[in-house]
Amino acid sequence: MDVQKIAQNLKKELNNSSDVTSRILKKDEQSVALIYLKSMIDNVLFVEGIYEPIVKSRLEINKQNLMSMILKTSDISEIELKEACEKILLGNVVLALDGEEKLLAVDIQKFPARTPSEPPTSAVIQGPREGFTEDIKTNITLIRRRFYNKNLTLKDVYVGKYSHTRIVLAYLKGVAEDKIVKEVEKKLKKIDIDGIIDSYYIIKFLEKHPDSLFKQVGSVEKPDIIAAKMLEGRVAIIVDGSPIVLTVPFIFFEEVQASNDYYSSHIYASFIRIVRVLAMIIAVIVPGAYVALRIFHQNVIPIKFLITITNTTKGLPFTPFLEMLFVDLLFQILYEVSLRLPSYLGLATSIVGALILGDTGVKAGLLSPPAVIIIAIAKIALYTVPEESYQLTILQHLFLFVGGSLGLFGIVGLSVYLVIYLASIDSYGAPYLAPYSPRVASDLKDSLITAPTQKMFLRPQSFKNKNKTRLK
Amino acid sequence: MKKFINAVKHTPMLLALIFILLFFFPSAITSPPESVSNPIVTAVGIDRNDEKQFEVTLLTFLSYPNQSYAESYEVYTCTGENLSEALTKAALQIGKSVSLFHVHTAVVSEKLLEEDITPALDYLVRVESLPQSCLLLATNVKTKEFIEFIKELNSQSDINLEELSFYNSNYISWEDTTIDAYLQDYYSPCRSFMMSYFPLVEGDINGIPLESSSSGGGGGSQSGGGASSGGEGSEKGSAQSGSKSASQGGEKELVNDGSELIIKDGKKVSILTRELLRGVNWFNPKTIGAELVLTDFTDENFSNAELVYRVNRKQIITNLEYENGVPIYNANLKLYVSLVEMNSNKDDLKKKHKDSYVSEKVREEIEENVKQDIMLVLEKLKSENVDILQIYDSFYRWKRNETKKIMKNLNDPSDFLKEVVFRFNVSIYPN
Amino acid sequence: MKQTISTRQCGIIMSLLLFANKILVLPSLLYENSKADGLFILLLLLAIEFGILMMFLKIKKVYPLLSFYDIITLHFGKIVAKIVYFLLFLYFFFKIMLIFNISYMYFHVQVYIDASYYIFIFIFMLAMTTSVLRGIRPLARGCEFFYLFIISCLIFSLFLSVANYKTFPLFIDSPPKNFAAGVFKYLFCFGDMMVIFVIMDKMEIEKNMVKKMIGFFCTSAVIILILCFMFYAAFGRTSFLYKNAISDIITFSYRFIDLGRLDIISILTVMFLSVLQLSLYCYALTECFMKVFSKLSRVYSIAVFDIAFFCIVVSSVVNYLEVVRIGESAVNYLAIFLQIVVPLIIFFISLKKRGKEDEKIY
Repeated sequence: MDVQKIAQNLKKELNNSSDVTSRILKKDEQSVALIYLKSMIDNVLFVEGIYEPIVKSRLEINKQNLMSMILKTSDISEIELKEACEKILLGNVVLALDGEEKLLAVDIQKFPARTPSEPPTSAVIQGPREGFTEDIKTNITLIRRRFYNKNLTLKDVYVGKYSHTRIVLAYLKGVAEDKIVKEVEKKLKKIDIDGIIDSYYIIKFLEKHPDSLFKQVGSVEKPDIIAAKMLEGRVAIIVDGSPIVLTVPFIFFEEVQASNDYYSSHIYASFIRIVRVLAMIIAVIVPGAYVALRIFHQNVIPIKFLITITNTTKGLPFTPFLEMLFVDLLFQILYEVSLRLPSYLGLATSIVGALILGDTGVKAGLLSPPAVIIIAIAKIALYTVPEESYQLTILQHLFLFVGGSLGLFGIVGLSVYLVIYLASIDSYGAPYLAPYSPRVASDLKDSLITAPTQKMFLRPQSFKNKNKTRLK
Repeated sequence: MKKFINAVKHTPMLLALIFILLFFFPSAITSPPESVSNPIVTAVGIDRNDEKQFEVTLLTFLSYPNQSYAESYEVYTCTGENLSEALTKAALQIGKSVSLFHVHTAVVSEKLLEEDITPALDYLVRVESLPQSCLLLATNVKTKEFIEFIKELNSQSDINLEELSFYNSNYISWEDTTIDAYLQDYYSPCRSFMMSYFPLVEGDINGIPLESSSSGGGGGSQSGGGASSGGEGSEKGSAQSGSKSASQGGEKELVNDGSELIIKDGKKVSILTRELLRGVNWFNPKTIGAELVLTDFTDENFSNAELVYRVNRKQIITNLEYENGVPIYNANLKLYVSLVEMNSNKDDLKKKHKDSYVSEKVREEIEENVKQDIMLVLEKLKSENVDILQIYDSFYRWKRNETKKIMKNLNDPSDFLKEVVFRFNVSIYPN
Repeated sequence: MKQTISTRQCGIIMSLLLFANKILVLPSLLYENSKADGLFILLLLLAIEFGILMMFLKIKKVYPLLSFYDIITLHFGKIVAKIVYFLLFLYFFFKIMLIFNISYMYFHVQVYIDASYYIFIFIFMLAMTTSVLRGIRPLARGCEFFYLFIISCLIFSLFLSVANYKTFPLFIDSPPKNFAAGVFKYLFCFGDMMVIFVIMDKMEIEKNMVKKMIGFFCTSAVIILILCFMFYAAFGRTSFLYKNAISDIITFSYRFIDLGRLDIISILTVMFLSVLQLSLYCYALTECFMKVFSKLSRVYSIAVFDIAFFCIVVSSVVNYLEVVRIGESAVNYLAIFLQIVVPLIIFFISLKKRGKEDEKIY
């Protein structure tokens, strides 16, 4: 077919979009059509690796020579005409040659991407500071360089009718359970959606209980954590365009483990994990418990504390529950504003929030200091486990409502209800509350109390993995 | 509708929870804090008035908006044919239902102690949820007057009733003076108990005076008081209180001299002064720091001196046995003492004796003193027929059969004390 | 798929149920009956309980896959099995009423002075219904999750009470007649083993089953005995006055006044315990109900229970305290039959027929 025609057809197929470019190079009666999206390619590489070599080449321009001798790029493949469009969209330069049925695709995709930097949510004091970026290739590289081993297996799945997003399943063959890999692959292939913008789009498709408040898929921003999780036998799911890599199976306790724990003394790690769990409990229960104590159980409060509370809350226009709700609402508004407001206005919001609303509210007799302190403690405690902060916020409010309505016993009842509910969830065969319920003895070494690395002989036994031994 | 039914099927319990919350939610929004409906009572006084009615006095914390954490208290008194009625009237008076969860001190008057106070206390503990660990003490005046005094004292100084009674309970008393301790002794075979006693006395030198509102400021009068203060402070206190009582027609002062009331069958028997209490406390491992005074002491180093020894540690080993059917109470006391004060002539003081100075003579005299203390109090207890040391109970515990034999001839377990022969062995060691 | 639970979980269920009724009012009642010698009554009753556990373990070994119902059916026919299960159903119902009543009274006196009675009914019903609907595995896992917390709180409570240790309780002080009567009188507080009989087919057999079960039993039994001992040591002759042993031993000392009411620890523990115990009993009850009326599903049985429970507890016609009173006397007779006679018979049969049945089952 005439290369000109091919170029025209392809352009037409791509709706004559303004960034679709085609160039016809003629040399010794031989024409080469280069079709590409100028917004998706590396211009320097295009000129130095494709354009110049073709123009300056003294060899005959044919498919073999182009592939083996002329083009100075690494990723060249032979494709059918029907694949051409897809390749162009992925940032390839498609080369059509006169008289050749097959086309050549040269991958010189380039778009603006961040360099790997430390993600804000999982900072470490000592340890790797790399974080995933939005570019899937970089992300794969970041994982690859941690396993110089053939067993690191990657599987591509493309999802999204319009977005055609590349999703890569990464796992260690011989460590991860095949059943889990197959199940994830099956679930991903089943997704029929118009587009995947971020990895969070596919989370719900991977969960067994999508209606649940609790997430059942892990989300990680750092390659070192992913590598560790893959070594435990988990499967990583990398989505193009998202710096968040997902992992399954997932257990609740993973959120308590931070990468920093593994880069510091195990004794300190144990201590800080206990603090984290306590903070989670405080975040969820304290506002509800405070309201419950004030409405129902005054006699339990120590007398000195009770006197302070009673003095400071006398004459407030709100009932304890409404007061707490009001302070909480103020905080939520401030939180939302501080997230969305440009950073140069941050100082202004904190002044308005802390000084005007908090301090003046107390002085004006609208709020009581204990309520402000309780909400402050609870809200700060939420962010000791930032990944869980959304769930915990909802729970916090639920407990506040229950505490205000039913008292301490309501809080206890709700806790039992929640635990029984969580105990009924499992994620790809991993009980959600493992290793505590059910107790998995060997996994307790990496739970609230951690053992030093040389004593962790086994991979996690809470879920299935092929090779149980990690240390001999 | 179908969607709704599906939702119900999937999450029935969550919806049930929401339903329950809706049911109770209005009450959560509208419920005021419990302190609005229940006052915080910190001390309670029980008394009888002249018409033989119960008189209940409540020291109640009242809140008012402030950021300075000041505590303001109010005293309410109500009378009734019985305690329930009195408390109901108190509730009407305050406009809040009375709950006694936070009470830490219960005061009874000497007048009430002329009859059995147990039913009243039993009612308060069982029905009104008065904490059983609440401290129990007695006073010589009407409890209303006493609690009003305490209220003023609380607002003026750091000395408060709670701390005074804690101190007594920890260091002076034979046992905890709590309601439960009282009830335990009441239900024991000998039914005897010792209760902390805090009289309000006019113009007592050792008392804790109350600063009159007109005198205004100045901590001198507060620091001048106190049970254990001596020397200058006492004089200062007495001077002030003296002037006060002269100008204001007899202001009373709180006296904590460590004396205790002996209660039997819920009624007052007599007062055990601090001197007598010393005798009891020789058996009491928790009361350390007791002073031993040797007056007119003469040996190779001292002549006519007054030596004060302090007991820093003591060991008490008791052994109960029967000899020919006679109960013998053997007590082996080991006292570790140090010399703390010497009131002697110049020559003696010059020698600067070590605080571990314990000569043979000292040993003898201390032994004699201790034995005298003990015998004194035992005489008193025997004459009053009160077994506050639970001697009968100890014998019954360890030598049951022999004790039962003896009890056949006795009417009351309290009489057992008279049958017991006490043998003491006091050893003194320098510390 | 049939839900199964591990031996550890089964042990935990047994261990938690063992605390039912025993850590609040029982020590005081025992003192009223036979002074400090109540401790021996407790010891004897716990020994009986231990005997039942041993029988259970033997039966489980002989019939590892069969349920208690199947075992009775195998030897006595369906009708007898249904009768026994109906009696068990009644027994569990009375037990639920008893635990509900004791817990309610305790919370009402200690922390919920002016609160509505409905709060308790709704929370208990919600917890019971949830756990029954979710099935035994989540319930067992829930118990496992809270177990360590509950046990450590109880032990902590005991440690706090050491400060109040006063005297050595006076033993052998009551006539033997009282002792024998006491054993019978307070049998209703025991018999918690029956729940594990009902769920025996769901228990997986693991290594060290006997050791594990005995370990869990002993943990609870020792805590109960120490509690009782400490209670008598702290309160002595006034033990009969205090009906909430586990919190009273903590609040007893005035030394803790400034710290507030430390008994909140025990109150919270009892809250967790009571919710879990009622859920477990309720699960066992629905199991029995489903066996008696084999055509009804779990949802129906829990619905029937909820309605019955709600009506009895709320209705002014049937005073629920009356039911509790009947329970206290009726349960004793039921308990002798269900707790002792039935397991004994099955135990002896299983001992005799062991060889033959093995062939039949596999």
